Formats: sequence, structure tokens, C-alpha cells
Amino acid sequence: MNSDISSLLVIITVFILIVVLLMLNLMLTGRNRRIKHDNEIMQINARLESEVSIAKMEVAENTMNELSRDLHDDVGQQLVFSIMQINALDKNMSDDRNRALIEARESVQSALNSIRNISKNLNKEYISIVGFKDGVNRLFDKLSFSGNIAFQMNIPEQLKFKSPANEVFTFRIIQECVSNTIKYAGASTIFLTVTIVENVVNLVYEDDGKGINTIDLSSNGGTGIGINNMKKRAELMKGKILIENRAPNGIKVSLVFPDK
Amino acid sequence: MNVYDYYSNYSTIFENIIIIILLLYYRKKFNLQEKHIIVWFTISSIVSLVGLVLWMQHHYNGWWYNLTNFIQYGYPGYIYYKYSSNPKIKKMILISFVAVNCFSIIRLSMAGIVYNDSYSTILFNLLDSVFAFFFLKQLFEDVSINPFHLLAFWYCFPAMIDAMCTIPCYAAFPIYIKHVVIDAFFYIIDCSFTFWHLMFAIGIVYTQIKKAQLLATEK
Repeated sequence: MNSDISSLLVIITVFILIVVLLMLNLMLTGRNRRIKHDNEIMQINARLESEVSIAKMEVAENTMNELSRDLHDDVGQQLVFSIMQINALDKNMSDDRNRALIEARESVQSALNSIRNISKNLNKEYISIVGFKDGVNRLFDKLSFSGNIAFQMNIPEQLKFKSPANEVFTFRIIQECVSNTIKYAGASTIFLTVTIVENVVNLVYEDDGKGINTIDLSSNGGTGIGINNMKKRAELMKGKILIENRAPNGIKVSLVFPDK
Repeated sequence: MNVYDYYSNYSTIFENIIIIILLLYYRKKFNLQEKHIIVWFTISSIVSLVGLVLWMQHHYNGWWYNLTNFIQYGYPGYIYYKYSSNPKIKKMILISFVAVNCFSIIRLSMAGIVYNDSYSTILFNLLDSVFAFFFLKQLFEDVSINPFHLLAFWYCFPAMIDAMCTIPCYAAFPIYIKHVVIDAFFYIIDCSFTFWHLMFAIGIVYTQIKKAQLLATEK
């Protein structure tokens, strides 16, 4: 009787063990399935978010293009017409009036030049037409007039982006950096290095201004939209952007992305 | 004494010593949930060690288990109640433990305290294994955590196996009372207890290693 009961007990216990292990296996399988499902949803969301961001950027670029065209074709033409009208005015005026006329013409000419510059900067095709290095060069040249900032640029002559979108995004990031430096950092020198090694673009932007705190707090009305846009653009290029605060010795922005 | 007698008499002591050394080694690294598990282990160890000493001194230890059943099986119930996130299961735990406690008190008052009341023990084990299952299910359903990195898994899973495996043994216990020695009864109880302790010891080391790795990654 003892051995019968013992055998029965062992059989029941083994059966229970098998049931418990099966339950554990079921729980693990369910868990793995759920993790897989969650990952798929996350991937879909990320892809959707990325597509929405790309669409937003495209809309923004197209709006800027439209604006650029309107500024050039409409406001620009009106200013040209105003200069022609001023030139056509009677020259036999008193010296005082003539001086005032010359000043007015210079003022309108200056406005026309600004409009043309803004129009070029807003136009994404501008970079494709003049090339990345020349575009950056011209950006720096124009800014040289506005303050006492020195630029040290190291971009190879043969630098060529494979993706036009990446070229425009990189240019916009440089524009944002330069704009922040000029507006808030009070820097005296800007250093820019861009290299492409094995289809990986490496950009390093540095200035010797006050550092990131000032920029971060005051950029675009205190919301940091400029820096966020830079990060968003880097993300869209599947790259990484690192903004290092070296206050009071300026900032360093490093951007790395694959150019495919 | 043969090998099994040595194992039966000293394995519990030996296993407890190893676990106590591990607990002392990692004493400063346990969180609140792990401390609750350690209290559960302490209660379970004290009950089994005193029971073993009584047995080795040739005293019948049924009364000791009858008295300690309430806390030995009640404390895990408290842990499952505390860490369950489902209000329905919480309510079920509370009602069923109160009911089984009342049943056990009535049984003891009717049958006396001297002999181990297998009916109460079976019911307590059944409750502990059912709620351990719900607790483990909850751990596995939460995809934000890895249950294998939690000490609770390494204690509750073998506890559930121990509770489920001992149910048939206690069902056969009335036969044992009638002086029919059932060898498998002791084999199964001893083995499931050793498995429980072994898993807990592995769990302590494994979870602490994982915790240290996570901290190192965060730094």
C-alpha cells in the first residue's frame, strides 16, 4: 500500500510540475508576443512621426520658397521701380532737396539689397545653384558687414552632398547657429569645419561667445525653437547633433549624419 | 543513518546558512519589495527549523505547524495583496484568506491542536499557489519590467511549485497519521523545499548582478 501511494504521489507531483512549467511557458510566450507587438507599434509610430516631420519641413521649405519668390518678384520689383522714379525726378532742385533725394535713393537701394539677400537665404534652390561651400561663404561674407565677427571656415573644395535635402538641412543648421551667435553670443570668432568621410558628414561649429545658456533661454522668444529645429533636422537626416556648452568660452555644435 | 537521512536532517540547515550569508553580503542593496520577500523567507525558515529541531529531538511537531500556519501562509497572502494591482484579485485574496483562517480555527478547535491539520494546510497551500500564479501573471504581463530581474519572481515561482507539490502529500497525510509511513511524502517535501531555497539563492545573486549592471549603465 505504501509503495502504491508513494507512486501515486510522485506521479501527481510530476504532473503538477509539468502543468506549472507549461503555465510559465505560456506566460513567457504571451509576454514575448506582447513585447513584439509593442515594438511594431512603436516602429510604426516612429515612422509616422518621421514622415509627418519630413512633410512639415517640406511645407516650411516650400513656404519659404514662395516667400522668397514674392519678395524678389513683388517687393523687389516695387523697390526697383521706386529707385527708377527717384532717378527720374527733376535734377534741378535745391542742394538740400537733392541731398534728401540721394539719401532716400540710398535707403531704398539698401532695402532692395536686404530683400534680395533674404530672398536668396529663404530659397532652397539657391544652395543647389551656387553650391554648399559658396552658399556658406556668401552667408559669412554678408554677415561680416553686420559686425566685428571673424570667420574661419574649413570646407574642402570638392565637398559634394549626395542628397540635396541633406545639403539644404545642413545649410539651415549653419544659418541657425550663425544667427544665434550673432544675436546672443557676442562672439568675436566663428569656426566651421565640414568633412565627408566614407559617406558620413561631420560638421563642427564653434564660437567664442558667452555660451549656450543665453542662447537657449532667449532663442526665438525663449522657447528654444531654433535649437529644436536644428535637432529635428538632424533627426530627419538620421544623424546626431551635440550642442556643448562651454560657457563662458562659447559653444560647440557637432553634427554627424550619413549622406545617402 | 543513510545519505537520505543526512539530507533530510541537515539540508534545511545548510541551505538556510547559504542564504543567510548571501543576504548578509547584499544586506544594504535590497529595496522594500525584496525586504518583504526576505521577511517571508525568515518566517518560513524559522518555522521549518524549529519543526526540524522538534523532529530531531523526537518530539511530534504537528502542533507547531498548526500554530504557525496562520503566519507562514498568511504573510505571503499579505505580500500578494500588497503588490497586486488588480482590485478584484485584492478583494479575492482578502476574502479567501479570512475564510480559510476561520475554517482553520474551527478545525483546530474541533480536532485539537496536537496533530497537524492537513485540511487547513491544503487550503492554505492552495490559496498561496493560486495567488502566486496571479502575482507571476501580473509580473509577466508588465512589459516594462523583466520579471527575471526581480527577486519576487525567484522566490514566488518556487514557492508556488512547493505549495502545489505539497498539496497531494498533505492529501495523503491522514494515511500517515494512521502509522503508514509514506516515503514519497518526505522526499517530495524535502526536494521542493531544496528547489525553493536553491532558486532563491540563485535569484539573490542574479538580481543583484543585474542591478549592479543597470547602475553601471546609468552612470
